[in-house]
Amino acid sequence: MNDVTKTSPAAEEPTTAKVASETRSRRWPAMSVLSALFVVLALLPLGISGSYYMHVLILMFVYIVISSSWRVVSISGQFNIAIGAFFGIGAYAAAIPSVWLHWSPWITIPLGAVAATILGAALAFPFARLRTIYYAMGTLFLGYVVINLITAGGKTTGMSTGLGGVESLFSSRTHYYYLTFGLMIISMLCMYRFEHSRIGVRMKAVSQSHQVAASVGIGERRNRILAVAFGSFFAGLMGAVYCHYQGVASPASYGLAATLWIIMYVLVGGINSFWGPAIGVGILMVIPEFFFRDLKGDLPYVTAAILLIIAFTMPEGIVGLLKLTRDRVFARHRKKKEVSPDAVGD
Amino acid sequence: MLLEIEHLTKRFGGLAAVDDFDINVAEGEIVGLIGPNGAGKSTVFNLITGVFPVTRGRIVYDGQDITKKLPDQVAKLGIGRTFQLNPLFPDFTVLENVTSSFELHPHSSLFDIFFGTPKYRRNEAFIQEKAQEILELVGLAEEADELAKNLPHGHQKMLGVARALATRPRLLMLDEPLAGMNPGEIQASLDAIRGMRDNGITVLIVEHNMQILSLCDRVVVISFGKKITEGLPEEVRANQEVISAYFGSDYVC
Amino acid sequence: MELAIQTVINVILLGVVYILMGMGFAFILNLLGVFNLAHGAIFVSAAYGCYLMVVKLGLPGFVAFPLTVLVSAAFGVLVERFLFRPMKADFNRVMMVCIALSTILVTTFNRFLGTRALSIPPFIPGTTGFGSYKVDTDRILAFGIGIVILIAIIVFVDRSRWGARMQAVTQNKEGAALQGIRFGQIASLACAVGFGLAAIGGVFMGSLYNLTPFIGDVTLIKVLMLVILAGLGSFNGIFYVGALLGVLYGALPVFLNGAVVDALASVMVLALLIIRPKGFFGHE
Repeated sequence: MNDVTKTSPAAEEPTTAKVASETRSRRWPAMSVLSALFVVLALLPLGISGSYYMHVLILMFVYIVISSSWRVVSISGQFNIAIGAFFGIGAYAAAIPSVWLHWSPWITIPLGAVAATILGAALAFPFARLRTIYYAMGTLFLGYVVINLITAGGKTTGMSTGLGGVESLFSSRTHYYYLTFGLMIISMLCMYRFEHSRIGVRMKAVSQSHQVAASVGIGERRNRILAVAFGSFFAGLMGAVYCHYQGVASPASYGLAATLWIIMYVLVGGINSFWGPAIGVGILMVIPEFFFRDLKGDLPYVTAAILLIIAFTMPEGIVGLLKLTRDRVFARHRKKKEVSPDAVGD
Repeated sequence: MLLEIEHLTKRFGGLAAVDDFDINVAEGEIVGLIGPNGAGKSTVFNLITGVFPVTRGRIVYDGQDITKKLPDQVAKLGIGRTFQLNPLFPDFTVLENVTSSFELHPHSSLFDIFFGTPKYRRNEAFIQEKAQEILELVGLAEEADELAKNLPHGHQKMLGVARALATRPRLLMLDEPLAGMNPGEIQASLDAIRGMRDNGITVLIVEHNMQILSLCDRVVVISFGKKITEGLPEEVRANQEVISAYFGSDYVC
Repeated sequence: MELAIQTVINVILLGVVYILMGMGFAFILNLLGVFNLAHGAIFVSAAYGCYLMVVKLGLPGFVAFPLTVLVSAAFGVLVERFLFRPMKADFNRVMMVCIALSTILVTTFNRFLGTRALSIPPFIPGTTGFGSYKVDTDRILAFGIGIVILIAIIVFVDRSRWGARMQAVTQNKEGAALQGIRFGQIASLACAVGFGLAAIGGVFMGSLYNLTPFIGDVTLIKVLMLVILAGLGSFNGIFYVGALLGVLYGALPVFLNGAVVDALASVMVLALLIIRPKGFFGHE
């Protein structure tokens, strides 16, 4: 019997009928891994020394949120190539008041998030009825325009060299670690809720067929704008936080290249899974930084190699591969138990 | 009388797709609108639901003039319809297709949904229950977790009907529900439509397949946009010679 | 007056470069269904390659230039066969492959040549002209070569048998297959031409202007601008839009500073995109 509070049985699960308890038992390994990770990450600063590793982890938390927010937008069928620019809008909306008006980071950080959200919603409007490729190109140029406007902004924005002198929120890196860690957890909870509630159902409906969606009262335009606004909020928030952490806002971190890498993190991890972006960031950013650091200038070759491997062998991303493996393991397990005649198809 | 239509006319340029057409549907009836291809049957539907503006005539639903209303307004008044091309959500399961269609009532606000208020949870429980009922009514309960795109064609059509039922209509307009179905599916559909009438839904069916006659309380025949005849199914069937003389023998009987 | 002549020449040369780049990208897009996000990297790599040939190997320009183009074309055939074809035109996979390829190329050239601005020495040094109106001979040469190549392409697409086959494939892939056109050959050809054109553009850019590792990204965006405004599936539109971009980026910097030009141009493009998302000359 279906759990009555579920509004959308996860669309990622296999297609055949399944027993609810079996679903729960499938989730068990994931939950325990998550809990273990949580504990490890929460206690990490007490154990490790070396500010470099903490720096990488802070970066990881930030990029997990941004990549996940890109993915949330993509659920509504929008391949958005402006996400880097909203990361940047958050940063500059925080940096400019901080540097020129000396506002406190406790004000500028929420300001950055809000500015990115409002601009995100407003700028999403002209694109909210465009089909796939045209939407992608439109947002690509939207991002390009934003970066160009920043670069042409004169002294206020610091132009292409960036705007320095942003006041820092804390003096210790460990504080930033916990801040970004906490923000990441809250953000992921919000995004999980977004995707797995009726809001997510509406998004997926619009993504599949905007006409069918309209015929049941799900408006395409307003839901697509909502998705972008939601994603921009988190991108902008992390942009502002990271800007204060770095002390500088520089356009190179928010341009097309940055956006493409964010998309790469999601694709490598698996675009069809909630944890895909996190895994992608871990594999594509963190592992090279942690373990291949001495390669220095050769590091890009490692990342390029990872991309090629994923593209050739597991286009569904790492999570896709894990799911396939898990299904095969469970299929064998079930065959032994002889529970039901319809085994999981592969 | 739930639906009263008089002098309905629709011209596209010089061509009258629907010409001075009258039809009445009483509450609780199953009325069939039959005619050959291109007779204007679907155009009548589109005029009722406001997809096309009317050239002339009046459409009165439950005492209210709805001639000029738009599709989403018409839907909110309790008129549901299916489409010949039957679009679905292909990557949703059968159950999700139905539950996702419960947007008009009950309606949950964004706030309710995001924060999981009691109102939201009540709505969702209600939706799950009603969706399950609907699936049982149309005979798709066993395939609740199948992806819509994997369903055989006939089942997809029934899913389209299920989705229309999710909007909880008083008047359900079915556009060629039997098209493309095999005999087993046709029988199941006829039973399902009877079940809907027993549940208090008034049904207006546009159909090409004469098997629908066994289901209808009354039948209206349309050709080239004009009403040809109307009456009980036996009467119209007795007129069969007239009809097949008129339309030729491309009729499935 | 001298400034005017220089500007006109700049406009024309830039226009030629953009059209060449846009054509190359369009060949790959229309015939393979691939958005070659590595196009900018090919552009830059060809320029760096030519630089190495001229400066380190001492080859004369007349040898280095065709050699660069041929090597790029050959590279295009390999890339198509081993990197693009297995991806089956799946946008996500192609994207990953292009970014990987681009990263590898740019990193490699960065390692060997650093990031400071370079310039390929002119093929024909000196200036020509009459009276006080002097122009770099190289620019005239580039202009001449560019025009010849563009005309060759038009003739090729419109008149030759291969061109006809390519047009057939663009418009209807399955239909073309039924006619016996082998898709593999067309694909290789398209990619060879695409990469070759990018190489030509790169060498022009590298010898007439400055060569830094970043111009690849910048040019890629301009190519995307070009192709989108022209309309996906269009070849002719690329000429018109390329010319427009040449004017924009060649003439405006005379009056406004570089960053403002970029801002203005990109806002204009965005506005045009919003008005006509499908481009102005496309047939899709």
